[in-house]
Amino acid sequence: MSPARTAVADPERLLIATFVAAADTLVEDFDVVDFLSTLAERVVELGFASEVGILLADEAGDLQVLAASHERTHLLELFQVQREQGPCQDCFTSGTTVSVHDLEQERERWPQFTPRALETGFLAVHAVPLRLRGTVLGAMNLFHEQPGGLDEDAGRAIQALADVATIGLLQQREVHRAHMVQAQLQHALNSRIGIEQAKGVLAERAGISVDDAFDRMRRFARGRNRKMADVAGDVVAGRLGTDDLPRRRR
Amino acid sequence: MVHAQRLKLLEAMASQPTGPETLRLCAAAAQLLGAAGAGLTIAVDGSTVELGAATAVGAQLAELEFALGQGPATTAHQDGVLIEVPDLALDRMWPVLAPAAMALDLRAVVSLPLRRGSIRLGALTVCWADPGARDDEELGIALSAGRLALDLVLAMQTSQPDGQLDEILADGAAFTAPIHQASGMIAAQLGVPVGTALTLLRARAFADGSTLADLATEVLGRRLRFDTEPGPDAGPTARPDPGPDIGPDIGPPTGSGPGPP
Repeated sequence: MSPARTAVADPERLLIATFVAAADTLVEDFDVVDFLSTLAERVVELGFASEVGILLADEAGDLQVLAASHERTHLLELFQVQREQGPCQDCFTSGTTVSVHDLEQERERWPQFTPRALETGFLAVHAVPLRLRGTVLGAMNLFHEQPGGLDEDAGRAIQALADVATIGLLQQREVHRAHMVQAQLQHALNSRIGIEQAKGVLAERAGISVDDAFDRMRRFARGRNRKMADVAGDVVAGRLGTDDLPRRRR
Repeated sequence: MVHAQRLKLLEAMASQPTGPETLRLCAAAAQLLGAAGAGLTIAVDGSTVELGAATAVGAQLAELEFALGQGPATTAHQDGVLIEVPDLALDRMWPVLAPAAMALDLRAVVSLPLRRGSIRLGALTVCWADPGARDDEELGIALSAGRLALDLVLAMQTSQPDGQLDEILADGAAFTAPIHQASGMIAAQLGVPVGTALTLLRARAFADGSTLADLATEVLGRRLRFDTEPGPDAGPTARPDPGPDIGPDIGPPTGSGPGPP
């Protein structure tokens, strides 16, 4: 892990590399925590903050600490989340950037968070929302050991990083959803094919039509409260024979 | 640019006669690209392709591909990249399919994988009667159609309960049902896995120069057997399958395997 305020030989290249990593959310082994941890470390390496923490809302809408450049930041973020108080919480709720140039002045605003942050060694903080139009996914917290604001260039770069991270996260959620549908589609197709195959197997063994074969399997499945696809699988595998699937008695 | 192409496609889809969205997308893509036809195929187990929807010529090509087990959709799906063959007469990728497709009066194909990241669902294949490479504009529209097809299939299947196939997709793939049934019969005749039976059926269709569908009809009509035994004289209790025999009475429901519950 890099110490804060490391001089970077080529900040532009590092920035580009960060963008590329953010756009790379479509790869198979994309991991949200790795991605956000890298982002947090990069923001520190680029000299935009002493330390960085990133929080995302869970399904219930509660913020969770997903990544932090340093352990003490992690603890401070956890404290914010537990007390539901602090710049990150305000940023997430409002969906807008919260900038505090001098934390000493904000003891009343966050009576529990501010002393804790000062104690940790931070004098200024910037919370940037991870948002796309109306959707706020979470927030990125930039902590500074010196008082003061971000200059215009740094502000723009941070906002751009937050935007790319947001798009990456949204894409990843979409991909995850699509994965589930894909698995479901394959399962449904396989079930369907398996049933057709089983009709043929049973029709041949019992010397009956495929329609009668289907009828026998369906009655058996209903009688035993089993899924057709499972019964079909047993027929194809030879675990269920013609004797097990009696013809209709009228 | 990408937006414009998608809009064009959606407009063309809207102008098609009413029908399933997948079919209208195929028709719209074929119309915009001046193609002979287009077909949407869905992959099963990574290789076998089942038809999701297609215009008439698109369906013929898809059926051919299903019968031969090779072709643009299979390659596009497996490789995960756009496949373009400007002239099937010069193609070396599918030695069996290319001449068969030319016999259907097709000369050029483009196939787009239905792919997003590691998700691969199948392919959208467009075919032309005349040879020729596509320009950037045409490839752009084709790519857009592929993306739209992926979105459509995902959207159609998303609301389905577990194990259920969307009805429109199921209808599109209905032509393979008799082929899978025939594979089941052959598997029982020979005591081989159904996958092997399908391969044998394909080989026979190729050797005889008949279509897979026609051959399946013969098998299902009991006019064609794959074993050496004469005639379909198997009684209702005959079990020629040499596979594992659990006996005439089944126990409690066994789930999907013989392992521990």
